[in-house]
Amino acid sequence: MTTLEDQLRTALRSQAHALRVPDRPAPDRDIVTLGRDPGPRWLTAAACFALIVAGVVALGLRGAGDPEPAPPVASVVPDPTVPAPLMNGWVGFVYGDINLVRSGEEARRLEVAGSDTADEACPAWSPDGTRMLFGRLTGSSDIASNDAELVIVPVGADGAIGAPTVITLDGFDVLDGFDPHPCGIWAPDGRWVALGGTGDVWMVDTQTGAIRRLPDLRPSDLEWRPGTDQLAIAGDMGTNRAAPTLSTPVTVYSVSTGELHQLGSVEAAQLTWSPDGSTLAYQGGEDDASDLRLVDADGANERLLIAGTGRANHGIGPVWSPTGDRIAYQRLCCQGAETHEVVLVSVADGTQTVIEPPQTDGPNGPVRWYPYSVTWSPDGTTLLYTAWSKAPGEPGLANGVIAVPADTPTDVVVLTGAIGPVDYYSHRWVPIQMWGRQPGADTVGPLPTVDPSLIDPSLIDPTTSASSTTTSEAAENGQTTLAKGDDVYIYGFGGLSGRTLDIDAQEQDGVVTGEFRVGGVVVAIQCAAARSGNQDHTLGGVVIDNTDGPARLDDVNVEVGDPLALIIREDPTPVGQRVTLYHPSLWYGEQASEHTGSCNELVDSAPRNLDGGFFDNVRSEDNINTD
Amino acid sequence: MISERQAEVGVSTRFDDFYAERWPHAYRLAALMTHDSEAGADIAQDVFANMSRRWTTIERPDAYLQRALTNASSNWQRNRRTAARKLHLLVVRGDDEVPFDGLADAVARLPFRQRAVVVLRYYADMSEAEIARALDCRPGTVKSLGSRALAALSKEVGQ
Repeated sequence: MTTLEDQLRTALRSQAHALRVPDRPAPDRDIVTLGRDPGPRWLTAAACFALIVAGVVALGLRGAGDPEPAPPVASVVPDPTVPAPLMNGWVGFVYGDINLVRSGEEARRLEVAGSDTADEACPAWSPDGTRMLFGRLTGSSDIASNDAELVIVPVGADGAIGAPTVITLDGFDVLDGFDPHPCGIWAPDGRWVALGGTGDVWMVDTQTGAIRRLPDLRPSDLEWRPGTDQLAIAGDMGTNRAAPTLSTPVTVYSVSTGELHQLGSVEAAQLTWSPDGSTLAYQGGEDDASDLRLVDADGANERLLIAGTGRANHGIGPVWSPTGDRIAYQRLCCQGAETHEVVLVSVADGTQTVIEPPQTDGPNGPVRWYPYSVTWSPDGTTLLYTAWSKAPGEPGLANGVIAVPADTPTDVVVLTGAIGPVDYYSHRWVPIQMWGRQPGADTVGPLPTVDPSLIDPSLIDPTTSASSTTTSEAAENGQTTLAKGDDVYIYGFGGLSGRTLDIDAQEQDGVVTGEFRVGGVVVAIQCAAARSGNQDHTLGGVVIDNTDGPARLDDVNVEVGDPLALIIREDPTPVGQRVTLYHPSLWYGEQASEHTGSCNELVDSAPRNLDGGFFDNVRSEDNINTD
Repeated sequence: MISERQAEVGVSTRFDDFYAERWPHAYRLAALMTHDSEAGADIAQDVFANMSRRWTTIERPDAYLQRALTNASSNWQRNRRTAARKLHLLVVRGDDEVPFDGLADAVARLPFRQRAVVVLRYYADMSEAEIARALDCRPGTVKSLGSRALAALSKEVGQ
């Protein structure tokens, strides 16, 4: 009797071979995307036939060149002697699901509700070492949604987990071809999380679920500045995975002020902050110089640390040690295309120490471990590699996570020899938070904290609603409506809208101020710190438009209570120009690129409902042009 | 001197050769996983384009290809749903759909990950470990997905 499995083999193969295999495009390596236009690059029918034959042969030979499935490195015995004074000791990694491992213990799965059906990735420890953040995609059917979520799980020192918090990322997507998971990185305050989407950067308030999106950004690196609420953003990964990563001006975003500004004239693709937040180290992208350079946090005093760090095909760029004295990076070595070694650079004098690929005992002899990425333990003593292993003359073995003491790198400990495939080209910012810090540990220094004066109280109060907060003064007074002098929170990024307001604005010393009326209340606006060229990514605000109106109007349905985005479009900002309100749900990819300008800053405070019905009120105003 | 990658690939050492040999298989695999012949060709083209750019950095091309095809098919499936939600319009692309019938049609109705396991297992003859690597999941998850798929298919075909 024919089994169902046999029937499946027959049915699928019949189906596959009934498909007319299209000619393949010419293998022109200069074509970044081979393209969907079959035109002149298609081959002849005879060639197609030949390829089909070749394909059948190839199918028959499937796997002939593949490495066999890698067995776990069974010979590895966790070393219980590795101290972990400044860390909770748990390292998060992905093997199908999120797992935790620490020296001397077996890896364990971090299982929460929904883990069985979701795809999970990108574990990141909160700065205080008490919570694990990861991203997941839920739903697997073709009909149900496959939504992206961030999950935050309290984890005790013993590995026991608490009730998870799940934040839905409605509309989240990634650039074509990249790892589709949402992969966040914690801010020093342990509250905000940053992650990259499709041509934008998402900022998620994990206490309220509020989300801000910074458009027109395809970063290759996101790095929070220690001790502050500032996120440095750099690099352009292009529109899809086939595109090269390029350097861009480094942009710094402040959560509390909403300000986005360029860091001097620095251009980079990979970043790392010094642990005291005073200095940024950076490198260019794949097609840029590989010099490792430093710059002060205010963008001044650019200087070379070392020239020519060599080429790397994997890695997350330079990583500053928590002790501040060294920077680790990796570079190609050993005559392979995926074989890297790690170099430690002394920040004081630029001297370099090479750590060759560590070696352990494998089933059939010595095994070398080559890093995909390298980062530091929270106490700065140990390097953590996600790595692949290989014995001489054999195919690559398992992927794993190994701990390499920086000063005695021969004392390597394999924490696990079984991790999932490493997507070494996506979310390069995430691995630096793989290793959890010990709650309350302060030997290296206090945990990074945010200067309270930098943060609007309404952003800190966890009881504050994301949609109804007010400025500090308004909050004290219990106000729910805007008043003159209130700052307008810029929430989301609109693409198009049909609302235009008249405004009186003026510029003085680079700061633009003005007023407009909302629901009978005069609202003050402020815009400062002009930027240049089309790199401007306004964080919302007021559009002061030199043109006859928005470039395009659309039949937008704006609901009462919807968040609004107000964009400065032109610079220098003129007096008496018009203001356009944008609706955030309409700001997508290419549309956003049309909205360039140079005046990008608005003093903002918090999201709010504007008097319970902004557009209703707008319509009631005489001075508003609703064309 | 033969490079490490060349030694490991075995079958092909030049991208052009690898591309020529694997193209039909890659196209068919993507078409079966997406149930869309045009999408299958697009996905295969994009994956090879990406590989051509990064060819010198890829040491295990076959493993890379399988995983990239699976990822791209999964992304395509997800993006199609997203587009459908945004537009409130489900576009039926009848001309592009793979003309399945019977059992293969039932496979096409499976959730993506179950379908991927079935296609990779029974069309591409991949082992559980290989499928786990392509899908970035545990071998146990592959087993579970496969068994759920077979149960659903049994019901469909009355076995």
